[in-house]
Amino acid sequence: MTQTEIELDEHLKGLLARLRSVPPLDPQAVVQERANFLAQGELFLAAVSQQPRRRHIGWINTLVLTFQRKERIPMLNTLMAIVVTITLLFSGAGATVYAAQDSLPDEPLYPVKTWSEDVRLSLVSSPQGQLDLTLDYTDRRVAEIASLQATAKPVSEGVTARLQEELDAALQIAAWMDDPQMVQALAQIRLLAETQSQTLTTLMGGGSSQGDPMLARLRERLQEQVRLAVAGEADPQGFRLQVRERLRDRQKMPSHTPNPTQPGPATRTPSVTPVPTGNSYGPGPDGSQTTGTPGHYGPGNPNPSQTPMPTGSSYGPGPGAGQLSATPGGYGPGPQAGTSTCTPAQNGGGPGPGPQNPTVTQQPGGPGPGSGQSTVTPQQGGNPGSEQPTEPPGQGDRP
Amino acid sequence: MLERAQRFEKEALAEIFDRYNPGVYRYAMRLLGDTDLARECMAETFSRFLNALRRGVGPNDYLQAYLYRIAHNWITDYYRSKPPPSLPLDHELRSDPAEEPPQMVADEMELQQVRSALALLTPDQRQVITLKYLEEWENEDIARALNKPVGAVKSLQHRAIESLRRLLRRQVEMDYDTN
Repeated sequence: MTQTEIELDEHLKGLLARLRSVPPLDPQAVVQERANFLAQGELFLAAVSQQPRRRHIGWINTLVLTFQRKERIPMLNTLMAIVVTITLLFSGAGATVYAAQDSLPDEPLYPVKTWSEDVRLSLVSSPQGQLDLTLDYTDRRVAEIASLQATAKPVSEGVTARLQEELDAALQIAAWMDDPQMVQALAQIRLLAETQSQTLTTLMGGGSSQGDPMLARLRERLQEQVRLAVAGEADPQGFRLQVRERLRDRQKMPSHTPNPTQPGPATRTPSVTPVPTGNSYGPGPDGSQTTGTPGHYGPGNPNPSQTPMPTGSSYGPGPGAGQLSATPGGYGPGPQAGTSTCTPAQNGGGPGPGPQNPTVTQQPGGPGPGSGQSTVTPQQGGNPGSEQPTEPPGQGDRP
Repeated sequence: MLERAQRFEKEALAEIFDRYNPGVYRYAMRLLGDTDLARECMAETFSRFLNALRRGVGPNDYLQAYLYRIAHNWITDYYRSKPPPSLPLDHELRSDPAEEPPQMVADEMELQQVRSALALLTPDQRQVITLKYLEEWENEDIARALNKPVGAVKSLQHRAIESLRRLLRRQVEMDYDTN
């Protein structure tokens, strides 16, 4: 006998015992309830073929019952529906973007890839972060070109144009940085461009003039990137001016119309613009520098020495005598001390008509007494040393 | 038998009903004190049992404890939704005409007091009192029916008896105050 039973006194026992006597249910009622019970069982018997399957998935019902609330909360159901919908939408979009990262230009998901790159770049605020991403994207483009070449597929113009835009964007971002940071960034740009140039050389079969002309142009552009980076490491201020001129020339060029089936390059003008250190308009030591840029893809001045030299150089902080800071042609050779030769790359490398290309702009500036040569071809007669500069000193347009 | 019932074999279902329907009815009748309610409870208990088999969540053993648990839940829900039932005095009075009417009325009033006290217990306390002292189950069986350890069942019995005694004492005091 348990302790509880001992505690149950006689009076309580007697009361409870009287509850034990329960009159039995009416036999007719029992028969009726029994018939109802068996009829319900027969009804379920029709679906008995599902029983083995239910036995295997029974744990799902148990799981559902575990989390099933007796009290229903309508607002909770609405919230759950919203949460589930948002989750499905975002997870689906995220999966698509993730799946697009390995796509090639001839694949349907490639626009998603480039779009995601642009979005990701727009979310980065620091110049170094933007530079890292941009360089990473140039690497992606080269890898895409390599993949296309490996499968004997044509390299679309959209991809090459986008790569060139990214190369330009990397230069612009670097130009915005302070001198020490810029030097490091240019070294980064240079190393990557060298590697990418070697990759294209390999793709072209090793020869300098073999393979796809488009690849050849790209390789020359990468070599130009190397030269610009090298020059920038030596002369940060001159590099900034060059970048600015490149941007200005590019803005003058007709906009690139990519292949509708291929995504075109995104406009990658960074929100920040380079600010040259110091006064860009002061006279340089020799005044021989020029900012004339005959055009990104156009023929440069084949003989800069024959062009009229402005009385005052537009920008004159050139360090060396006769140093040319202009970018004569899109793919021409870089400046050389003492002389300036412009080799337009787009037109087969031959010298262009020179003065016939009037696209160069004159940059008014302070008087430059130097005796160096200039490539500037003044428009509309020019006004060397004009006292009415077209833009205020120190506030020139930035790349 | 349970495996056959899970396949909805008619003979197995009939055997289960015949074996357990008197006990389930008695259990409901003792707690509810109403024939119709007890019958409804019994019918609903066996119907829910079939539905559980259909969903594949029915019992694998201890069918009796499972059925009493269903009945207990039904009664608990009933107490939550409705006040305790009134006592059908006329029906009980006719059940045993040999007794003296005044004594029968007094007995029925006392039974009503016990049922009211039981109704005021918590559902688990009510079930443990009913199964232990009315159905005379062993603690192990009660533990299965309540899905609790045996030790917890003993502790529950102790608290249930204390509560029942206190409730009955309060009723007696109220009767004295009324008189």
